[in-house]
Amino acid sequence: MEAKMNEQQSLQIIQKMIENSKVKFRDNSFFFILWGWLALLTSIIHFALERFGFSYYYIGWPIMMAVGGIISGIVGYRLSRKVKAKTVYDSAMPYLWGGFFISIVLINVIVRVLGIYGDYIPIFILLLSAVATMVTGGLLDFKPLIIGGLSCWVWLILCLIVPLEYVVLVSGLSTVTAYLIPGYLLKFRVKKHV
Amino acid sequence: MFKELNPLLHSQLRLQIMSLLVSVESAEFNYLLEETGATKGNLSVQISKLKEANYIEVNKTFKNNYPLTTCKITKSGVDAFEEYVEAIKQYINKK
Repeated sequence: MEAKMNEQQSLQIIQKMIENSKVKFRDNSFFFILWGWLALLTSIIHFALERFGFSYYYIGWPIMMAVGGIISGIVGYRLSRKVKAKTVYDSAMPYLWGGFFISIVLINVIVRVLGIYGDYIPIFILLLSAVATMVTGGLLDFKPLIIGGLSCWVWLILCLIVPLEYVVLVSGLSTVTAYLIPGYLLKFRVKKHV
Repeated sequence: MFKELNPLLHSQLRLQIMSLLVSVESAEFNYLLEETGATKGNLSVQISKLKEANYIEVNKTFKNNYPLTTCKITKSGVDAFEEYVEAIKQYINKK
């Protein structure tokens, strides 16, 4: 069965199908909310432990990375199974955020190996976070994430102004504008369109 | 001089399939079924025709123990689609 159609109808079909296949509000809000809260809480714990003179004040970070990594891996795998049409966005995200994750681990290793003072690590993480968040926002065409990425640079400047012991706390607060607010807005947008 | 419209693409369902596939990397059979609103049989037939023309690749795997058919547009499929769109534009502009 082949329906006859004129040129106008052809164009309408093409337009409608392409519109339908655009990235349909992928619900990745979970990852932003998860990592936002994890990083915020770990920053506060780091700050508090350092204040109380605990030697292993940074202990929360490897635990948080491991817990967050495992949860993200499981949820990411489950979500990818639900995707019926794979787009560039779906292919790019694991590389972008996987690369971000590996870079953070490497920054920590390099700092320890070279014996550099580790309290400035959050500044480098903010630089990477700005790029990854903005690219995600751009691919999703979601402005709050783009603004969230830009906000990392503002927090980075603040990190350079505040006393060294507050750097971890200030960088932790960046998750509110970079991950948590955009994450909840994304969740809200997806719910509205379902 | 008008370009001739590719008869393989100038069919509603095949054009729907190609338009969907041109904007994604790959799509499952069920996705195409939902978006086109076609019947399973008709969709299978049209997919086979596009596959024979080497416009799309069809992969058959399993997902949760169920057969899974995935379609992906090929380079010659993209070229044919672009040529078709150009030809359509010519017709519309001349009217």
